[in-house]
Amino acid sequence: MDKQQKQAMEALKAERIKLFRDQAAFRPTERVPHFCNAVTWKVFDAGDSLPEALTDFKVMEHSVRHFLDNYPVDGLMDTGIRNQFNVMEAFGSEGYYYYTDEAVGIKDHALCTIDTLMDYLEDEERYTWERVLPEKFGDEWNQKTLDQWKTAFKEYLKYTYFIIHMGSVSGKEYGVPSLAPNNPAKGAIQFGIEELESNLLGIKELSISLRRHKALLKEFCDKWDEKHIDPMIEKVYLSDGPQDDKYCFDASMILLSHNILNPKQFDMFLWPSLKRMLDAYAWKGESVRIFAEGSILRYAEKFNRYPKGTITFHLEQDDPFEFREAAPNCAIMGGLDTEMLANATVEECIAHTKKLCDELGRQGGFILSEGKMLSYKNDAKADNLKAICDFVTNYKL
Amino acid sequence: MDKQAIIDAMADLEEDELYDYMNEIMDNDGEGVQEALEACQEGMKIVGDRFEEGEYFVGDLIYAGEILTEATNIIKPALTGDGQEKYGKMILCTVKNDLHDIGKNIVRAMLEAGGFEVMDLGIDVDPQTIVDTAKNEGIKIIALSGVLTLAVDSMKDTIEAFKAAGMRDDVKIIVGGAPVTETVCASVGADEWALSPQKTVSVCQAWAS
Repeated sequence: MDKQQKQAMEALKAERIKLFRDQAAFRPTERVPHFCNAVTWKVFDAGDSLPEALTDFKVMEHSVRHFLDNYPVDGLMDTGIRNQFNVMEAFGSEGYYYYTDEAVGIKDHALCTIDTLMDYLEDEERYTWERVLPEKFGDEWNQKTLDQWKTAFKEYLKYTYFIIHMGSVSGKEYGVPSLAPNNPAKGAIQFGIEELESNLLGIKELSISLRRHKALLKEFCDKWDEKHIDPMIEKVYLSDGPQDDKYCFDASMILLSHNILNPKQFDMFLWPSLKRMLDAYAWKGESVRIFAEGSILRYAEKFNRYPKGTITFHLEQDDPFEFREAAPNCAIMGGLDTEMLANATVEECIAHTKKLCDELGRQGGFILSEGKMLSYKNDAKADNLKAICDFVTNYKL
Repeated sequence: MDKQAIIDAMADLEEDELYDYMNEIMDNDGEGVQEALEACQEGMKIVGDRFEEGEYFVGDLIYAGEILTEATNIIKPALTGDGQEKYGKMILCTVKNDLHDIGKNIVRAMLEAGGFEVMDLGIDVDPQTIVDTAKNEGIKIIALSGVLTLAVDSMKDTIEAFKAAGMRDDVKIIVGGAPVTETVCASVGADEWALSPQKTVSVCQAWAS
């Protein structure tokens, strides 16, 4: 790329960041931006092999470049850095994950029991080293050779470089900005109840423990807050404020536990921590993108207390029109579901996209995106996605 | 045996209280065991209603399934087997290429409480296994579950396998789970679809009646 091309890409990236920021803040824009949620679908679309792409950075880079060359998206959720298995392959750890020509999966399991939760909280690193990793990687965990460790660390460094490299490729060569800082609150935002569901207990054990061991779980969540969330909140209050020129949002978080919590449990276990965090962002005038897995519609009103521009909900399964009714102060990311992308005609896709832009984006507050990640080859027809990308790029509000 | 108290304990998810009632029945040589089972099932129906109304959510259904199973296990030695599954056998499974089982297990608990003998074939079940089981067991109701969008393809493959075996007209098939919608139901060729366990139960009961 020559200097002129680089400058053009910088300008394009800045223009896209402004588009995202304006829509998130309900400021009318010339067009609606599209933050694409394509993940491993890119590999199939490029004609690459999934097993190769997951273990060879060059193949994955080819898939990502093929996607960015063919689909004019304004943002890309995954630049090929999810599900890379080089490190674990180098470590000789089989059985923890699997992949076929069509799919990749993790053989997930809970890291704690209700009886060991507090042990974990007391010394997370030690517990992880002594309890979690042996269980996760099997009996051979303690028999790793020095060479295996060295190889794994080398692969980890390569992986780190790949993450930086792909961020640079998408930003500098395609003008595609990053979603949010990697450490928006100087650390990944993970609330206690989310950690319990996603990693420590799992959905079933947590569901049962919410009834059988309510007090213990509450104690865990409070202590988790003190240890992890309170310092983050403090850093948000002490931060410099919005980073308008660098990222589309100031922070990004994922919520999952609302899918199992009843209203009383939501108010007891998630809302207090989440509210304090959102209060901090609102006070600083920063914008937060929240990816709501499953459905969060029934709790939408709670979030409507925040001023426009604070929260953008990335909806996985909720209807964006219903959500707008329920929480008119929250911007929306979404609108495209895999069912339509996979089965509808090009004309139907464009008509739906036009409706989204007209009804949700004209006054600001809407960013086009796929709700569910595009993972499998039948999650979208290439023609449909291409037509949507072209349409939304050219459609003036 | 206080039937209403058992219904309330189940509906309110009062685990210890429910088990106490079950143990009391066993201490009395199983007297009233059939009524107790029916009370549990009625309580489970209320759990489903509270889920529909938004008072309970998925975690509560998981818990309800757990305590219903345990309560039934306590009184099982006293049950004669008569009239427990008035709607007969049906098949439930998560389809090929999908390993999720939580939704399936919730539905199983609700179906069992709703009067079915559920043959749970597990997760990642290939179409031919489902067809063969239906054929060998003479089962007419099939419930296919999935969470991944990939599961939609497997649901379609399963229904195609029933057609290939010449059995499509002999069975009723309901699909359910996160990626399932009315359009998906039509595109895979299923007879019905559901996102809630309650709807699954009522559809299957209507088919079995």
